[in-house]
Amino acid sequence: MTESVTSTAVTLSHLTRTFGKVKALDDFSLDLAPGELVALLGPSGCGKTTALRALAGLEGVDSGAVVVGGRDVTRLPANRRDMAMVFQSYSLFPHLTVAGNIEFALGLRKVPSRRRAEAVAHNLELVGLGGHGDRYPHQLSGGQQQRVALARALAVRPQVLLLDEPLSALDAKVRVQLRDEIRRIQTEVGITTLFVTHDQEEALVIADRIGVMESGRLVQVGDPREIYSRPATPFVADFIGTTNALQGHAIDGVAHVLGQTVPLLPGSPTGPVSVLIRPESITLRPTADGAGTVVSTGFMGATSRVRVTLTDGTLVLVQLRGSTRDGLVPGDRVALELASIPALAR
Amino acid sequence: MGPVTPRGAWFRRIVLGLALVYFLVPLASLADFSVRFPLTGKVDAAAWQALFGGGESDKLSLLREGLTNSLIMAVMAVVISLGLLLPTMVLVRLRLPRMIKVIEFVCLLPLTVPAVVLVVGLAPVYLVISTKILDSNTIWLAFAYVILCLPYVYRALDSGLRAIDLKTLSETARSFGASWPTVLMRVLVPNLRSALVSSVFVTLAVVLGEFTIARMLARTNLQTALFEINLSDGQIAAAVSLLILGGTILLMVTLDLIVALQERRIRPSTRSDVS
Repeated sequence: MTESVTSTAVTLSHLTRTFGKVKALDDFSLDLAPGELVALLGPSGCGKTTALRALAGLEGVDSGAVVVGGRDVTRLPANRRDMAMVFQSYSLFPHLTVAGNIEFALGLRKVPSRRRAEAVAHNLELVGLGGHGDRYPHQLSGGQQQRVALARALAVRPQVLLLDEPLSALDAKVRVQLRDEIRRIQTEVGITTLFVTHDQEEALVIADRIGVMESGRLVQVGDPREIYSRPATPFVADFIGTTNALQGHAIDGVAHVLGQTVPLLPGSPTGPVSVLIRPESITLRPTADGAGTVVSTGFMGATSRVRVTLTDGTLVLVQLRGSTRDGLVPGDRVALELASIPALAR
Repeated sequence: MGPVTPRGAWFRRIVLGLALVYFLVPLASLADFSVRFPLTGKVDAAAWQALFGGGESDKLSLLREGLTNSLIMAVMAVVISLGLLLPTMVLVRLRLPRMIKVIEFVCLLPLTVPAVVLVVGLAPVYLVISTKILDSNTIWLAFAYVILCLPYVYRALDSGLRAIDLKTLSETARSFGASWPTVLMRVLVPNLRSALVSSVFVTLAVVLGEFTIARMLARTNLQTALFEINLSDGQIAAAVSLLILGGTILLMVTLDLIVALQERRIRPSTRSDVS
């Protein structure tokens, strides 16, 4: 049985934070609905961790407000905000056992000692580490340490759970496994969660909504599908997934590319443009008079990737379903067919 | 690290043997001197009997006073230096990293000032302390000893703080609701145990062995008492030196064993990681 929490709404309003001449947060605003998992995504140095730390109270802000559950906590120190954080580096207290780590956190939250053992056992079960309570952190693998850190954070039933790139230090297989578990547990417990990552795939899989950051600003917030298929800016399009920049001409909301017409997303300019087309929005048809030449093919399991050069030298990446590249070999002439999916131009 | 070759093992034994000779010969000589009358070569345990015979003499009361003062000052110096330096070093590392070099410079400065020179500066300070603030009790020398110990305590704490992820540990505890004193006492101190014990060792060693400042400011500590006794009875002084040396070694070994046992419980040398 999973004990759910009373979910809390969070509002980060017009936050600004400057380090010297660098604006880590530039008029940053974000709302989290109760029980929602929002991922902040962006390249290194874009300010996503600063935003998370501002919410946690570990970083002050120059201006703006942090409101949690209707209460302004902007000036409250970290230890007086009802939150719990899981860090990128393993943050277990090395001198305490697994159970000791969780009990320590519960003790700080004034949980009666008779209820602590029960909470420890329950939360360790929740993360699949029942029976590991008497081990020390050094006796656990990295993935297990992060599970314990997650159990400790969940045990205190915080208003907001903060995850600061918690999977970055793990190897690929464990990362995927733990990512799915975090999502399962977060959904079960129903805790409002802010998840910071630079891994787009992680964000797309785990989040209810994604906020993409660039240079301290939130450039787009939306559900993963929207962020992927309707990027608001070329930066978002470039950062989320892979895009091909194909030369074309835009007029009246459509672009003419490779002799075909592609609808454009709002915000695209007119005139000569580069249209950002996803690799999976292109299909290939072998033909002797095709505009492209196959350069290389690669099998990726469920999909295949084919690199094609156009007559003007542009390299285009095409993603096909697993078997559809069969028969294509480097040197083949192919025609590129663009799906009629709205794309962004720059 | 590769296996130890027979040649390497012999080399280690020789080095260990030489080191033991280097340290044990003076101690054996001291023990011999405490029981052998220098002029006649006669062996008796008079000095030891005087210490443990239950009698009272001026020498023994002077020694007791010096030892008591030194032990009190050692405890004071440990408490003050750690109480002063640990929070400061944590604060500077977390909030004012640019000040690390300044703190290091200030803490290491006493190394460059000879004790005699230090006394010249301390004399007027202690004149004020003795007459206007406190009194002329020897134990107030503990403040001066804190200065003497600063470089060593700083170095021990510095290496301890470098060995832990100070920022993550303290921020984790803070995010769970820990106040700064709780972070310090319940999170950082347990993880700095080795560094703290090293600090205690070195402070004990410095305070119990300090002579110059106490002598020049006319205070009575262990070393000045031994000096006084040595002027009239070198054998008792030798016996007491040996006793104190043995006691100090015993204390340090005991503390070290306790810490090693705790460390082994938390971080055994053989990892049993789970993949």
